[in-house]
Amino acid sequence: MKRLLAALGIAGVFWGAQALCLGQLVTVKAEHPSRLVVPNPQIAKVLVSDFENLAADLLWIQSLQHNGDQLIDDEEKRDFRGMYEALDLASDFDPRFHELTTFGSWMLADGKRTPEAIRLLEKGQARYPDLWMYPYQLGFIEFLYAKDYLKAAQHFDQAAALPNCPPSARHMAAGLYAKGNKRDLAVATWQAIYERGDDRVRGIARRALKRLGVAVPE
Amino acid sequence: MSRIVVDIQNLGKVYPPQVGQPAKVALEGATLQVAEGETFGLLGPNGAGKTTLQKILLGLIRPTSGSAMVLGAAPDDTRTRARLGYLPENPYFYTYLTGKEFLEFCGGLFGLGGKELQERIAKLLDRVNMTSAANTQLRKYSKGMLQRIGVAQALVNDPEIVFLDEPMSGLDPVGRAQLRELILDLKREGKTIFFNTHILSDVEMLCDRVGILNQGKLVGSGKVHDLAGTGTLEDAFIRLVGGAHA
Amino acid sequence: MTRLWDLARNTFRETIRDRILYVLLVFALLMIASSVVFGTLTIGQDQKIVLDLGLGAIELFGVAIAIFVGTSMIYKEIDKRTVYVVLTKPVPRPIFLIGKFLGLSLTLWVLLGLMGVGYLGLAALKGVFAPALIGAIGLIGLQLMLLVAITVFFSSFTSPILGMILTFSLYLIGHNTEALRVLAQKASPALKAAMEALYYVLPNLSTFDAKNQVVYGEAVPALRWIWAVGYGLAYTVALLATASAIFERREF
Repeated sequence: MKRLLAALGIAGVFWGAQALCLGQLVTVKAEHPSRLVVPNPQIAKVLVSDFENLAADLLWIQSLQHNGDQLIDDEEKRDFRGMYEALDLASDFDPRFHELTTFGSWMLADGKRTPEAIRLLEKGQARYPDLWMYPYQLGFIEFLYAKDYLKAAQHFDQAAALPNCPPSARHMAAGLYAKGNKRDLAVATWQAIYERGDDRVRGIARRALKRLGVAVPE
Repeated sequence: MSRIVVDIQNLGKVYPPQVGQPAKVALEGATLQVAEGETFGLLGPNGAGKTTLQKILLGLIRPTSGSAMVLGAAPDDTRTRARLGYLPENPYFYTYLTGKEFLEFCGGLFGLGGKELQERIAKLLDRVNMTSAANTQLRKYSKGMLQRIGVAQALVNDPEIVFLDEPMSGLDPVGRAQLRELILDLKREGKTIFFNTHILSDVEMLCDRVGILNQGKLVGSGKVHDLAGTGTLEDAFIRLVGGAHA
Repeated sequence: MTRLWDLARNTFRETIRDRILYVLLVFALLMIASSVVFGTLTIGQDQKIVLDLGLGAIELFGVAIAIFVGTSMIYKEIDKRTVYVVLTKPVPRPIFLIGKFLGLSLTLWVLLGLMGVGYLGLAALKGVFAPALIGAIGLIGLQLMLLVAITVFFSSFTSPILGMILTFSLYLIGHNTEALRVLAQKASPALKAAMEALYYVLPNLSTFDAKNQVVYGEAVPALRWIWAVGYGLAYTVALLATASAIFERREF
């Protein structure tokens, strides 16, 4: 029994070290205590040793936690550096983990890192050109954060042509083409997102609505 | 003259040097024979090479020079080993097995099985007085019980020759007496017995012939009373071994 | 043949009676805890994460046992001198090694089976059971057998600690042989040849990996199975044959 426990201990140390290298869960650089630290992708890709999915899950949980921590903090102290690198590496590890990319882009854009959100989604779109959720999400990011309505409309259009896409894409495209930058549309869209979304997405929608002057009860 | 069953000619064994240790000569030019039905005692102080010699006869190690034949064949022939029994020194057996399971395992290694093996095991357990502990795990056995189950496993194949390495070591007086009885029993059955010991009284009581090994060399061999001459075996032993130790 | 079975069964008994099944308890607790924790930590991806974690844990527990028990089992026989009892009976030394190999393999398959039942049960409970998951567990079993063969190979000539380190390293390298080939492309010609030779000699353990596909319901194709079984068998036979040749010369 002792031997077995010792053996499990050694294995734990071995793989614990490996997991730490991958997730760097405890590494916080002193000069940037709030920064999300991501392992070197080249090293991580060797260390991961056919545990790609699990590594992606780890990075994903780490990003979610980091995002949560930032939202608790004052707005000026929020630090979303490293989040793109974490999500990018995670999506390389597990490209089929679509929720990671789409929800990850919300987190990035909400953290004022819109170009990174777009880059992450475009990578996913290049991998899976037949999935509606990538152009659909790109449409929202272009519309709500980059405020490029033409591009947004084109993305929704593209999404609407793909199988299983919800009809709202077509409406979004139409509205955006027609109306351009209208506060009403923005509010309506955020409200639609708020109503359909789960708790996390709701938080983002609630903050966006607040910025537009619309109060949403907690 | 009956058949020679153990034939050792000019046997030598040198252990190759290990880290921090030079090469070690364990046996040098040993020549001896044991005839069928004989009880042969290999006598000598600790480290004299007794275990090395038995291990060569059982194919666990190979000699560096000379030859060793058991039942007319080389010891690494599995057919030869099927006809031998062996009790190692201070035996450690699989502690997670019960006595009965251990004997079943050993019987299986001889290709035995079924009802025949079960009957044989029951008899052996009775013979070594271990029937009551047959279903206890070996980890709970006392030293004497281990020795007795060890004897039982050495007899599971009804061997022609039984090799015993220091069978009395660690036993209390009652245990010794019981084991002595057992060896005498085997002797009466006509088995050849080859045992290593450093206890002179055992040799005097049990053996037809002895060999005395000291520092790898066979310094004397013969019938017990021939070796003892007019004195005791102890005198002869000290005369043959003591000189080298002085 | 009966001798081989007796030796294998004895090793199976030894490992099972060494309370190795406690691993199952740890596995069960881990799975239950993680499915609760990840349900609250993540936003609806807990099913996928629990599937990933379960397969990962099955593999890692299996690998830990294969390496730690595998590297010590033959050493233990020598250290505890039980090898004297076995090898002085009419047991050829290769049969002894193969028996130990089969015994531990059997233990690992039983363990995998039990962990697998728990895992698939949890998957069914979460509504994400897919037959493909069974395929991944099967491939892990083949991989563990190859790892046991590697430990037997190392035990024929090294100490348990060294064997452990070497096997662990081979396990890591074995899952990254592709990286070796990529590196070879960048190396100088002489080094390139050496690295390419290594690529073919070292065990390619990615052959036995389907974890990242099956959680998305992608089954292990039949051809992959045939290749994995054939490759594993050929590699195992080569290792055990070499180990036997070395073990034949050993003295006890």
